[in-house]
Amino acid sequence: MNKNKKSQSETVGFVIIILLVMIVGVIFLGISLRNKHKDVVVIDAELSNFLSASLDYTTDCYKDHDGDFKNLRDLINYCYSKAVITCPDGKNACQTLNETYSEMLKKFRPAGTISYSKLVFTYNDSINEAKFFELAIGTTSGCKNKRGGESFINTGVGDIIEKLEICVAN
Amino acid sequence: MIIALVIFFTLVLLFYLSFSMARIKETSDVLSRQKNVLLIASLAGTPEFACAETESLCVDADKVLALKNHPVYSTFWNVDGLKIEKVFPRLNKTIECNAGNYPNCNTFTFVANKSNTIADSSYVSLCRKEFKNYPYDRCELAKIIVWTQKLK
Repeated sequence: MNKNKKSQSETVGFVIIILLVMIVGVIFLGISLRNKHKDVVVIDAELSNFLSASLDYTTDCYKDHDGDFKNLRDLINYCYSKAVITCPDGKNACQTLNETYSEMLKKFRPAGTISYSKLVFTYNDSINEAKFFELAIGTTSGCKNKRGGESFINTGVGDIIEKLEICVAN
Repeated sequence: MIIALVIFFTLVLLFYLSFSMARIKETSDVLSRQKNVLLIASLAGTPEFACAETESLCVDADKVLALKNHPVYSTFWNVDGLKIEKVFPRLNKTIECNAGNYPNCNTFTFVANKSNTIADSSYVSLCRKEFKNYPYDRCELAKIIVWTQKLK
């Protein structure tokens, strides 16, 4: 009888220990999964390289004379300063940037399928920070794998920061 | 009871270890890919590829065309495949560049990729000299793709 009671209390103790460990395990799993689902953007060298390389892309826009073609780096500067520039179909610098980057991002294929991409240009000096361009393609819903990249353009006075954020679907 | 507890905690420990190992493997894969991308990007800075104006990710297409058929360069980089591919603007089909069709083409193959290899790539700007009223640089978006043997 006494032996039976002892084994019963041992079983109860064992069950309590298992329950405690399981509760701790569930809490631990919950915390780690919540951290994974946070809005974390992994900075990716491929995206930063894409942005840096795209800045040299030559457009058909020119400033002073036909043949003095400007690249996307110049257009970003002109878009920020709202400078007058001659582009095909009478577009301004910001509209041409929008069109060119839309096409470019559609062809951009890092590992996986992109469900969403957002490109933002911000001017930043020691006093001001102002967003002057934003292009978003696709939908953010259900995004679990966010990656980002950035590139800088020195304007002499401040910097223009080019940031790209994408959502890889797989 | 002690034996049961030891077995139970061993199982918990094994579960935790497999969970951690999977995360370490995932991080290691990401870091290794990033390292490869940066290494490939540094190829763009080598004298064989780099533009005269020292933009860090700029490849001189005229130089690439001249070097492409040079027999020394098929083994120079010691890789299992090396290609520069124009990404934007994109042509509908792959056209290998040669002196006859340049610049209306989109691929420069230095080393044809071998089987059982993995590809890593990095974006660069591919620039060439053009003339319209004045000489200017026309740059397009391209990718340097390098194939290496799979790690066993």
